[in-house]
This record gives sequence, C-alpha cells and structure tokens, in this order.
Amino acid sequence: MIMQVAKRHLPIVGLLGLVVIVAAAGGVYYYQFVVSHTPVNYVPSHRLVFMNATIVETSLNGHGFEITSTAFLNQSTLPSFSSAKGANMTDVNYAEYKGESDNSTITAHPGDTITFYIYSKSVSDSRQILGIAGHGFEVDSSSGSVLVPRTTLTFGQWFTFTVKFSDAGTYVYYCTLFCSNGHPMMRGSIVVG
Amino acid sequence: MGKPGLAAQTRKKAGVLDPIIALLRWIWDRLERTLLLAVKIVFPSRFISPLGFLGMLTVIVFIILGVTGALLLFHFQPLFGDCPPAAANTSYVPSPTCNQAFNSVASINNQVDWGFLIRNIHYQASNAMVLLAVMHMFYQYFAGRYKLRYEMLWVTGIILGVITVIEAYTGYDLIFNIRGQLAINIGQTLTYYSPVIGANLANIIFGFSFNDLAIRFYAFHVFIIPIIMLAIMSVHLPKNLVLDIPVSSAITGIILIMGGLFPVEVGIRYDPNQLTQITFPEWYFTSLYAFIRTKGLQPFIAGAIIPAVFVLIFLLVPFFDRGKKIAMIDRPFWVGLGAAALGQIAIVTVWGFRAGNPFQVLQSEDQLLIDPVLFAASLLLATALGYGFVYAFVKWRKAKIEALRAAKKPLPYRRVQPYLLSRGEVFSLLGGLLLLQGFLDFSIFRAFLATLNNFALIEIGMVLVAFAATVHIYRVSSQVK
Repeated sequence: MIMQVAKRHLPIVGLLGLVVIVAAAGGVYYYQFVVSHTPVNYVPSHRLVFMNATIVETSLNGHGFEITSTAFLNQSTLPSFSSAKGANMTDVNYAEYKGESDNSTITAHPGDTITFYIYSKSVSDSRQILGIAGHGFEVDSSSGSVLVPRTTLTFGQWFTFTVKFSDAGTYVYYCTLFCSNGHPMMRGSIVVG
Repeated sequence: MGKPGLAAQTRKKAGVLDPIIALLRWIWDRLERTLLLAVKIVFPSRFISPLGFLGMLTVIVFIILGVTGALLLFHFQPLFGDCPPAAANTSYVPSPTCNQAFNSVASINNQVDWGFLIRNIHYQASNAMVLLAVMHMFYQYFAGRYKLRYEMLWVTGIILGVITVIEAYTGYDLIFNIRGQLAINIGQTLTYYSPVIGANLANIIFGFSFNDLAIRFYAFHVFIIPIIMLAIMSVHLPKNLVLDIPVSSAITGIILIMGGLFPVEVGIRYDPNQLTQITFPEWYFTSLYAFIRTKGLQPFIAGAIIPAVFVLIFLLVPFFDRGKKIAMIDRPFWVGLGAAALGQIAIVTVWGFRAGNPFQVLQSEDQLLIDPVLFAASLLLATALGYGFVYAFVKWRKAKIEALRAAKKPLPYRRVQPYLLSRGEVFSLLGGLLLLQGFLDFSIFRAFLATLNNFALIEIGMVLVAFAATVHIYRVSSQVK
C-alpha cells in the first residue's frame, strides 16, 4: 500500500470521524448497558373492586358497571362472602385507594390479583328488557382468551370473581345478556401495565 | 511496484494453496462457457458517486428482500379464517381462527426466533427499494439517459418501477391489519370501477372472499410478480454493472439500522365484525390517497387514470425529446418538467397524510375530503414554481456560459481539491473503527442474550456501516499516484 501523503493540515475529517466513532460506541454503551431494560417488578397486590351492575341508561357513569369503591387487601384470606350481603369487611385488613375517575376502568400491575364484588341491580325502568333474570359478566383479554367465563348475575344478588392478571395488556369486562338498548355499551376495561 | 508478474515467476515455489488455486482456476475456465461471465461486473477501486449506480443498489435491496421474504414464508399463513359474528344477546368475542394471516404475522413479530429481525429487515428493505427505484429513475432522467439508444432501458425501467410498487402493495396487504384492509378496499374499488372488464378483473385478482384474497395475493407477492420482475430485469439490466461493496454494505446497514430504530408495528387486526379506524396507506401510496380523497373526482379517474397519465408522460419522454444533447443545461424544458414532477409528488405525498386542510393532522372521518379547488391550486402552484424557477435558472446558466465562451474566458467550473487523509488520520480512524467493530460484536452478543432484538438489529447495521467506512478509508488512502 502506497499512501497518498497529504501536506500538513488540520486533521478535521479525522477528528470528526473519531467523534462519530466515539458517539456511536457511546450511544450503544449508554442505551444498551446503562439504561435499564429489565421490566419493573411490582410487589403483587390483591385488589378488591366493588361494583353495581345496572342498565346503561340509569347508571351514573354511563358504563353500566359502576365501581363504588376499590381497596387493597392486606391479608392472605378473602373476606367472608354471602350472595345476599356481599363481602363482610369487618375485621378485614385493607387499605382503600382512589380508582379511575370514570368509575369503570380498573388499573393494575402485572402479577396482581383482582377480586370483583358485583351487585346486580334490577331497576324499575321501562328501558330494562322485561323478564330477564339479570345481567351477564365475562372478562376477556384483547386477543380473545376468556379469563372469567360467561356468568349470569341474577338480580338482587352479590357475585364474586377472582382473577390473577399475569401479563400486561388491556382486558375487557362486559355484560353478556341483552338487558337494554344500551347493552353493547355495558362494558369497562382493565388496564394491566 | 516493478513487474510483479515477472518477479513472481522467478520466485515460484510450491505452496500449500496451489491445489485450491488450481481448482478455482479450473472452475473459472469452465465458467467462461456460461452466461455468468458475460455480465461485466466492475468493482470500482476508487470512490465514485453512488448516484450513478442506484439501479444496482436497487438490485441488491431486491436480493435482500428475496432472502428475508423466503425466510418469512416458513411462518406466514396465507389464510383469513372464519370470523363468525356474535350470537344473539351476547357481546362480540373474536374467534381464535379469525384473521389467521394477521395472527401469523403477529407471531412472527413476537414469538418466532429471529422473526422480529427478519420482518423488520423485509419491511425497511421494501421501503428502501421503492425509494431507491424512484431516486434511480429521477437521476437517470436528469442525466438524460433515456434517449440515444437508452430507450429500451428507460421504458423497461418505468414498467419495472410500477411493478415494484404493485409488489410492495401486495406485500403489505398480506398482513391484513386495518392498514392493509384500507389498501385492499381501495384497490378492489378501483379495479371494480375500471371500464368494461372491471367487475370480472376484480373477481380474478381479489377473489370472492378474504380467504381467496389471502391466497391470491400470496401467490402474486411471492411468485408471480417477482418472476415478472426478474423477466423484465433481464431486459433492463445494462451489460456493465457497477458493484461497489462499501456503498452496498452501507445501504444494507442503513436498512438494518432503520429496522431497529423504527420497528414496524403489526398494527390493528382487521376484523369484519368491528368498526375500523382512520389509517394511512404506506408513504408511496399517500399520493394516490390524496387524489382519491379529493371531492368530486371519480375513484377510477383519481386512483387509476391520473397516475397512469403521470407514468405515461415519463414513459413517452424519450419519444418526444429527440435532441442529441444530454447535458442538463441543453434541456431546460425537460429539466423543468422533472422538477415540476418532483414538486407535485412532494405535495400530494405529504397531503395524503394530512386532513382536508393540509395544516391539520387527519384524525376523524369528517376531515377526509379534500377541497378540489385548493388541491388543484396547490398542484398548479408547485408545477409553475418548480418548472418556472428551474427553467429560468438553466436558461440563465446557459446564457452565462455562452457569453464566457464568446469572450474566450475560462468556464466557471471549480475543481474541488480532494481532502487527503494524513497517515495519522488513516491509522487512528482505522484503529477506531476496528475497536468499534469489536465493541459492537460484543454488544450484539449481549443484546441477543438479553432478547433486545432492536438493539441487535441496529448494531448489526452499525457493523455493516463501520465495515463500509473502513473499506472506504482504505481505498481513498491507498491510491497510487
């Protein structure tokens, strides 16, 4: 190799080239080895969600399922439950927290467990379909897999379902029985992330 | 350097590699009877502008597409499946067999080993191929290489360009996300409304169901259109090809880096039972999208006649420009026409992404329609400005040069003195690049262990670009004066 020998000059291109090389290596080093890529591990929590199921037309939030309160369960056993009175929270170690403002979206972290307590409310309103036994309930993932199979929520009773959400994603819970004209809107989402 | 041949003869000794060299020579001699050596491939030993071999770069990207596409074949399912609607009194839950083509693309992207890499390379290479083909066409146009016995290359090139875009179209429809579905809808409508044979043609191309469509577009995309492209390429490729290894490697690297920096999303699954959302075509179709959205234009005129006229003008350029001169300065009209075309392409492409008012982002359906007066006015303005300015500039430049010639003064061409790298610069740059390559190799390995796919993709691309830089520095600094 016979090199073309340049006259003495400021090594502008050489210095710029070295800056580019260092920037490339530094960028890779910073973004790959300094910035953390391991997902944040949340301490799994157990959430209790209390809600009423009623027709969309009379519900306060316009979603049919109205979340009345939410709580973290700070003990390993679930509160005692009866279909007439729901969960008995006396002597239960729990902490309340503020849910989403629309009273229908539930947020959780991956690995969390959610226990739903749903009271199925029959309203004396002409828009509720005559002669139905109650509302329906089902929880699905966005890809269509079923987490809580279709269940009929008989009017005037409490129901409970417990689901563990291992994967991040958006899940949907919805009414499965045609209850009023607003039935397709009777749904809410569970955002796990 | 002396006479290496003579020196080698006098110092000839039996070497360990002699049998291998003899075998290679034996193979090379026999290859001379084949077609392979008839194509003259030049490996330039010094830097030449890549604008001159954009066509060869397009071929290289075509090969990348072929290889990655062949790998994608292993996991893609050309099947739409069955999407039963919800039963009475129940909410809709998509069936697991609904839109299997999309599901298979999603699994390639998320589950299949290396699938993310291959899919992103395939996608970015398709963009690069369309872009390089368009750049190649415009460079050859401005360089005047469409007349004087270039007509065959030019006409086949234009046809090849159109087929390239159609190939890209069939490719992104196969994903069956809502973007693909929009493209299918528009394509099917345009075919259906074409005169006389429209309805039959639509049935032949698109079939009678999404399952038909999936398998037909699959056949088009992976076999029929590539074969047609290869056939046309055999007439389009010139006898002398320039294969510049560093630039080709850099282009490949840039495709990989783009794939890692902007990983293509699988998109939203198309489901016939669910309402779709506002979406856009790929960037090479937003121009058509803008025309189709123009109020009052028939879909067939907007989506087929107008682009066909545009293509036809370029196809017929060599038969109207019969002058013997190819320099830009001697063709003010044709150079102005090219500039006007570029201006129009830029305006309609950008407008395709925007709302009816081009200063707003397209977000809802009531913003889709474009006011025809405003649209036509913007196109006329682009044409007038692009043509007018470029025509005037070329005329002014020519007049200036002719005046200088008449006065027998030197022409105002500046010879740019090349920047010569000094010995220290060469060695520090080569050393730095070598260290960078080593660090990148280590990082790629670590990225794979940590399943950071996009980092791996970016870093493999960076290795290719660093290799290109190394070879480039070597060749600009080793030329014998």
